[in-house]
Amino acid sequence: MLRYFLRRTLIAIPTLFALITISFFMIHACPGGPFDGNRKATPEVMANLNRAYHLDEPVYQQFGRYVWGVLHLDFGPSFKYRDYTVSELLLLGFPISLEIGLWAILIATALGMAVGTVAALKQNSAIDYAVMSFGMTGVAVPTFITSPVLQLAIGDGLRWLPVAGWDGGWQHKILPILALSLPPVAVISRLTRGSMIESLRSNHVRTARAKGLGMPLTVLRHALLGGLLPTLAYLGPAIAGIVTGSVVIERTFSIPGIGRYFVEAATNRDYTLVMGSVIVYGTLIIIANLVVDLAYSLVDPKVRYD
Amino acid sequence: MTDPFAGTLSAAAPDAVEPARSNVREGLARLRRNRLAVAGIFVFGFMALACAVGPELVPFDPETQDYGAISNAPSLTGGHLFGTDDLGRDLLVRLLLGGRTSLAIGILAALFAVVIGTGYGAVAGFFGGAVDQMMMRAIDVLYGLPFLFFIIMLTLLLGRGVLVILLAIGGVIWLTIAVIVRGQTLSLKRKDFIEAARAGGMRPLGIVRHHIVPNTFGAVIVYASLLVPEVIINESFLSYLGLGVQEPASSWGALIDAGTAAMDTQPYQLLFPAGALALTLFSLNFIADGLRDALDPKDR
Repeated sequence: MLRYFLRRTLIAIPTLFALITISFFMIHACPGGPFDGNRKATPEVMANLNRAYHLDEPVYQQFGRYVWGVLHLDFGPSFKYRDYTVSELLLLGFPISLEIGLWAILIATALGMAVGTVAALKQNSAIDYAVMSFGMTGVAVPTFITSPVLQLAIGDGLRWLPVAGWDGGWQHKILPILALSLPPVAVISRLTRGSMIESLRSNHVRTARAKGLGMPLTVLRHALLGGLLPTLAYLGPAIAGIVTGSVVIERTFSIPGIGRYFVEAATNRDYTLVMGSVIVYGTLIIIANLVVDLAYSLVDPKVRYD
Repeated sequence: MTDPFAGTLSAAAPDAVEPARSNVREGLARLRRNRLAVAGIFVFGFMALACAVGPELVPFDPETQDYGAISNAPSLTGGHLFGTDDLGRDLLVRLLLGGRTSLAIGILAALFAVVIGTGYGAVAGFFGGAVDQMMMRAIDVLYGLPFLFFIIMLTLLLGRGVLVILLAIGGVIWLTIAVIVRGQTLSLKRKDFIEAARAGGMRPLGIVRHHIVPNTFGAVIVYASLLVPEVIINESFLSYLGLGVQEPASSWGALIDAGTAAMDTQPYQLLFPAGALALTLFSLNFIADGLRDALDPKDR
């Protein structure tokens, strides 16, 4: 177990380094530069700008400088937002993205497992079919369709909630969190249904029932743990999905998180901001996968690592 | 690998592929009994056919603007069955043409991913040892990376265009196929017919190509069918972000993006492309589910 933990942690380091290296050279290889949009700068001004941001150095030297900075938690100045460093921008946006993401994961897990369990208990009933077809919707319909449709129906049509925007109040959070959690709710309910059906048929559950334990307690104490495993394994990919989903959500709902930075910064060639957001997202995904795998090995004694 | 029998026999066991084929035939019979999957095949077939021949049948040009019909609502009598966009272009023909792009990218990028993934997985599994270790550690590293960011950066790097999107998406989503094919290869390579081929002096890469790869097709078809909707989602997503298919060409994602901008006043501009995309993804997922039930030996 300890060896497995160490090995997984050690793999995270080259992964992160590969992420930084590949992204750095890719974004620097893209045609154009961060100052292309400037109005008629004279060659002298451009040369000064490039020197100030070290863009006149060879790329490998810039890379070394950048990695050195990252090791000291310095992500450099933003090229586009001239008054901010990348760290400041990320610190401003990250709590907002994190709040929405955490709520989405929480709701997806709780709702998905509850709905999936009910569907498994009432297998082949109307509830079951409703859950399954909803599950297919969540799998098949991407976030960039559900969020404008939600805006159209609930924000614009019924006028129950604001269409977009952000003032920190709960009204502005409901629709984006809902849109973000729909795909994982769908997948988790399908997964839970499948594994619960299997778990409910297993011998130890039948024994518990035979000894006179009521259905609710049997489910809670005996069946649920087995039904939980696929969901747990899915949480890693789910978190990655929520991370990419937040790029859409923050764009459609005009939320000032860090999801919107990535696309914007990549098209502006704001090198440091691209790298900053890639590193934050990459680290998040790597840590999430690590934690999920470790939790899985703790819950499922059948899983052995060497 | 030193092979004492190298050159003595060159013919490979010719009937090695037979059992796989009969498995597939059996699987297709099971698929035909799955009503949802059959419905999915019909819906998808209809969509594909409509996108393939539809644009030729609609009496409007996708790029010609009709200044007398700007943002017209859908109507059965006015000529524009699905209405027009804010530039006065017929939405039906743009929707069908966009579907052509989205479906073509979906199928071709999935094929591309299958080719890379199958080759990578089969080689890693067949050669084993240090080669396998290195190739699988590389996959571990790649798995940890945020896919979407790489697709976006690849499209920026290579320029915008259908081919670039295809290569960028296909070049990023082959990992799962590689892992599955490797697993299949590990069990296949202990089978007698592989031993026979080896004894017959076949070169390792030849064995991989003629014996390993054809026998992994069952599992590969299942996951490839899951890849097609995934690619379509990714392509639409890129186009939705403005990084994919560029005007005047269209794809469903680009149309959804334009429709989102106009949804306050002309919701149909959003609902038609969103509906077409959702319907296609639905049918593809039902087909994929059906194929998995029919072909995946694990679930029987």
